[in-house]
Amino acid sequence: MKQVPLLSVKGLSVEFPGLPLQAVRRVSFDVHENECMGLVGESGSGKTVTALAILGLLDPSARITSGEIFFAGEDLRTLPETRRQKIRGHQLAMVFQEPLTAFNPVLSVGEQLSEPLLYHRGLSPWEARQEVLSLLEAVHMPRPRQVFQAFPHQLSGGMRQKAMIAMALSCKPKLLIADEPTSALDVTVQAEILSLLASLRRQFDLSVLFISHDLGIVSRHCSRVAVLRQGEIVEQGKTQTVFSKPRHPYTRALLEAVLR
Amino acid sequence: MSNPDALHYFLGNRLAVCGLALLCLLYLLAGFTFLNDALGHAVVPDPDELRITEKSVLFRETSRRAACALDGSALLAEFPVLSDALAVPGKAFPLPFAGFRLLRQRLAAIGLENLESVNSFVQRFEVVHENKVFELVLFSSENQPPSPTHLFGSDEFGRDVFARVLYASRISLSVGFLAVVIALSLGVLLGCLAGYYGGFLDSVIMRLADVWMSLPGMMLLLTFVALTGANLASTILLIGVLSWPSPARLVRAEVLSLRQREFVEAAKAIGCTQTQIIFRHILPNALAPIIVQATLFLAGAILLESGLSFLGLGVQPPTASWGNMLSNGLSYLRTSPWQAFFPGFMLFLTVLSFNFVAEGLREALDPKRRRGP
Repeated sequence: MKQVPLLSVKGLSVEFPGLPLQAVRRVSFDVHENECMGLVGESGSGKTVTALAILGLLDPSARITSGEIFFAGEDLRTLPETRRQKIRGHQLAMVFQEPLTAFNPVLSVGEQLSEPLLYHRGLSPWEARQEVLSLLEAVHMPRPRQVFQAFPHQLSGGMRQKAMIAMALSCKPKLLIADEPTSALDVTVQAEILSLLASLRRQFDLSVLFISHDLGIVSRHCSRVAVLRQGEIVEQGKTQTVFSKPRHPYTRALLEAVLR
Repeated sequence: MSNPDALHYFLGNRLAVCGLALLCLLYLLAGFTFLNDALGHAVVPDPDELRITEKSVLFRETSRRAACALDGSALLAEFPVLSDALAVPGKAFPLPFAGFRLLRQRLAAIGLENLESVNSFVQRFEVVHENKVFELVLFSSENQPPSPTHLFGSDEFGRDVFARVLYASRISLSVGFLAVVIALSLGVLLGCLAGYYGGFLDSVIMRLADVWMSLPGMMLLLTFVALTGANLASTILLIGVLSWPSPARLVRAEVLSLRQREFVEAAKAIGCTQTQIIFRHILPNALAPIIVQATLFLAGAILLESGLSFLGLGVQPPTASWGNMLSNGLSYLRTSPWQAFFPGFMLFLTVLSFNFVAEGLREALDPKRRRGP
């Protein structure tokens, strides 16, 4: 049974002017519905650039030299900017690595969480407030009403990341791109956020593109995985297969680097 | 704001707080003259009929008028259109809204009896002369030195200098504020565009700013006034339009660094349009330096207006302005120095206060500039 993938990246290459190497070279992978796909690799291997390219948020100086990005049957690269703005945050959401810098310091958390609801679903500010409060409860945020009025710096790291996830989920996206969502958190909070993501994934019928350098997390949460190295995918397949019988020496090296 | 202890820090700065208090007082007084004016040609009770002294009439009547003016409908009837108010120099745009709100609270607390509408006032009291409270009641004799009756003395026509200084403050403060509003709206908009979009647009706007800054502002103002005649509205406009480059540069520099921040990327990721990103996400982060600059510029604009009026090219007598009171007082400097001293002193005090407040704001909003504990 072969279904059409939700997100399909084909032969994507990205280069930055002045640099001899392409940051991402002929990367191809698919994310199916209700699937958690892992994208692993060391820092600088092109994970984040791939994610940003999918969202169309690459720095203006970067150039996508080839490739297609199909999302729900549309080629994101050829869509006009206004249409892409409608897809971003609505059907395609992103969770950033460092929630403190990803929140605007001068707007309250509630204001920022309401934004996608106001822009994409056309809710009134009051409706958006109710919706945000219920979202905050869905991500098990303690004291949602106070959090709504708080500024980002007043929350703890875990709470901020929960708020970030709530914002990403606010418009019921089809695909969530999580770019190292737990790297900036300490281990106990990490576990909480990860189990939250897993339960939300079932609850919201989400597909997740999970970007991480942490093989342990990826092996527990992702059904399939792609290993990136210097901008190229060296190996991809079912998580179990890749991790139990790594074929590429780089994957083997990565696995050996994991602390036991 | 992002800086929770900024207010606390600002309040710890004695000079800045003194400056702010002075400015607030000035605004309250200016607001008071406005209220008096708004209902100036209405009504004053006859002291004999009420069996009270003239002084109590003065006090009661001003408070009543103030209370009455706070009834919104009465106010609107007096000032229907903003542009009308601007066209007549004597009735400069009523700016002291902050003072207003304060007054409203005070008056509510005092709990004046008989808070009635203007109509019933007109029925009950006979109509007397305009500006009675501040000018005509105090009309006694010429060139009086400062005394309890004439706090700041009186001028060569017997007008109360204190009353005139207050009326003049209204003009100066309005000029300052309007010029700042014009300069800031232009500067912030152009600065945002230049900083956010960069490239060709940035070069064009910044070179324009360079050219603009090399224009000799005062000369241009003088020429303009000499050509078109003294006109408060166009003077304000010109001061504003002449000074957009410095806020524009400031905003551009802020935007340049802010647009690289991750929250801008996050805003894009949730599907914000560019307008939303610039005005909702970037601009509020750049607000602190803009506020400081605006406060400094306010003082500058007030000085500029006074300079023009001093040269006889700004506000024309008999409308009072600190500048023209000063130049008028110069002729009587030996016989009645208070005529020139008090408007000059008020000007000095206002500008000084604005500078202290600006300095306090700058330190409070920017922790890096703070002195050690």
